[in-house]
Amino acid sequence: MSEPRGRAPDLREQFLAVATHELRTPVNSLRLTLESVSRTLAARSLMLPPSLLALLRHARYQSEHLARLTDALFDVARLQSDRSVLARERLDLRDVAIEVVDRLCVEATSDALSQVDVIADEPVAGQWNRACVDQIVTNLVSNALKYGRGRPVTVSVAVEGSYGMLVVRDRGIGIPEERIPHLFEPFERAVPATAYHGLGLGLYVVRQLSTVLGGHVDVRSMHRVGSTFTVYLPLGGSA
Amino acid sequence: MTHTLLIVEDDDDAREALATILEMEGYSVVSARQGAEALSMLRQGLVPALILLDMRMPGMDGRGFLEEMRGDQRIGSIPVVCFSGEPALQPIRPPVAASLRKPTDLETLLSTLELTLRERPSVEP
Repeated sequence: MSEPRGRAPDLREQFLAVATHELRTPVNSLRLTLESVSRTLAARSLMLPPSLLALLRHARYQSEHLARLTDALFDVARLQSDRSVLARERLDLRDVAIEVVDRLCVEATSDALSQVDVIADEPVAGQWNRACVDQIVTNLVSNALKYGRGRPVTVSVAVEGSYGMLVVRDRGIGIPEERIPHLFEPFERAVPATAYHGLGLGLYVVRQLSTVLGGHVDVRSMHRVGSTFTVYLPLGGSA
Repeated sequence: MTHTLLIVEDDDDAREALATILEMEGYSVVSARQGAEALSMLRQGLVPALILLDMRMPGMDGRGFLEEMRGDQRIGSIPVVCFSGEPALQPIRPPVAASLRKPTDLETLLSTLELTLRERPSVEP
């Protein structure tokens, strides 16, 4: 790799750290404001037309989504310097997968929803940080829905040796082979930005969080056929 | 009883929005754009029941404000709830009554303020 390429990841990570700090105040203000409006409407029994209530609900959802994303980005930026700060608890990966899929299906726009099947024959219990696991599942399933061309998405969880294994498979646009080596780098887009919105941070966050939890993420993909992402998380927590 | 809160936040829009939100919840709100301004207000006689402090500010940041404030016996005991952009890897010194991580939700903010005010009696005259 040439020197400029080697320096770029450091600059990206610095940008990530700065950007997440700068995002926190406006996201905080936005969320509090929208929640205050909703609370005031309820407290004063003020009636809005259903369409305006729906818009308010959408705005609140997006502000909460921004808050979760900001939290996840910040955790990634912070954990690059200190990986000992995560709180862990006993989690069932199956339960997290079901919760995330239910939430994403409720929040998705009606014209973009693919069918998402969760396959889990047994509990997959481990010592993990809940926010990290939730964000991993959310990012992978969101991507599968986004790039899945409306075709069914499969989320499966299972025990694989000493690991909990999460597999998210779509039958969508797939990833060009030459993009795969860089797929998990920040701000890498495997698709034209004009075709699909996004910052190119979702898979970077998945990789970082998987690593922090002591695991790793793999991808198999064929352009125009679909992609399969597999995350392995040690059941006993990271070493 | 109406409690007076002092908000210290450098972002103008965020400060004004937070003031409006808290006034709608029944608080009386005074605002400062930065730590030095807040210290001046306190030393000139303002005695809020609680200070809501942003830790990241240009010039005197939240930690600098806390050090100055805690070193002044007349104002050092006013409870402080800080808005932190990060959970402190090191404890916040001088200690604060509570720390909220941005972004937070309204219910958490309000319950934190209520609990802090309940546990630390107001120093208002």
